[in-house]
Amino acid sequence: MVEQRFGELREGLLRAGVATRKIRRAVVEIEGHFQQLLDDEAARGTPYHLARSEAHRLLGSNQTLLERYAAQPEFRAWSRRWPAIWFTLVALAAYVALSVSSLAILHIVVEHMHDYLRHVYIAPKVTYRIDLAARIVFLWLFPWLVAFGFAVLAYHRRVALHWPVVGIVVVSILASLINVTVTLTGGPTPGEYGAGIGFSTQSLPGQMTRAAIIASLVSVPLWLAMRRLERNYRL
Amino acid sequence: MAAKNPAFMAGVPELVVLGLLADREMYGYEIARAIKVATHDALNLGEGVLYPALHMMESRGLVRARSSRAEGRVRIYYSLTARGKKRLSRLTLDWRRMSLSVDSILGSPSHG
Repeated sequence: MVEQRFGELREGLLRAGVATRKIRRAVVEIEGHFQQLLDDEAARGTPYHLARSEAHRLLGSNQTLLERYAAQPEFRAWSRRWPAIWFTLVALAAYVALSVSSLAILHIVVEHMHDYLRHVYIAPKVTYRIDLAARIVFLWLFPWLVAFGFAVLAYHRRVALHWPVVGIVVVSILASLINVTVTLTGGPTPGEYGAGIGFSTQSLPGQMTRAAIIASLVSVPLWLAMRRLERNYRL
Repeated sequence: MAAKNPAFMAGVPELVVLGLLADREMYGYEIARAIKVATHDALNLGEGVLYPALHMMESRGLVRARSSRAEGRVRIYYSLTARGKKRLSRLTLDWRRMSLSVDSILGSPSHG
């Protein structure tokens, strides 16, 4: 019963948009207070069930506590203050930053290997596989990772489902418009790599299919997780 | 509970908590007990709502918090900051001024 009350308080505070750091503090302190009320009553010889109901009465209702916390804008998490910015612009910026920094690392690595690559032969099959791996990482894995990260954030902060879904779709569409080519060859012209962003009506169906697959891979599990949460905590 | 805390009491919980913390650092439960004892239960804050009030004061820089473990439990001790001391002085002054004004209208209790 006690765990249920504090679990519900924690869930209620999350839904009210209170920052998780504040919630942890609040629940630890309020639960500690409750335990001390119980100890005091027990020391007076009050039977446990009466001690517990007295402790609940003295502590006040969860609803009152939720209202007090929800009324303070300072307690709100950043992602709940500006969800539109957080789940669209920040998500897009995270994807771009991840892609650009990875390309920069790739550039540094190829530059360091330049002399070595000039003296080796790389089979076309290996070149093809490296290119394929780069495409999978940049065009599938990175957008999925970013979308998944923001979906996890949305789940933990109990953000309304439409915000992370919008973010996931936006990141997936951007990722579907990007093309990455890595051609690692040996000999006199070692290593070529490039990234481009383009929009063509010819490749549109393929690009949109890619966007839909990435978006579904994140949105559907997020929707299921939020639905399960809704069933477990009907506040 | 509401009857014990009429609307004109707004701001009093903050004054009382700051006043208690002026003497020494305390944790939430201690503050609640001290209020109960000192006011003979006349000022019923509702013990749970003490925490949002304390957290609010902390975010406004009026009190600072430190965590400590005692008897297997985590306790958060609160103490006054310099800003909290200033706020306490101002609120005390406001309270005394208001109290004197009300007294002057109602007259001395001995004449009541």
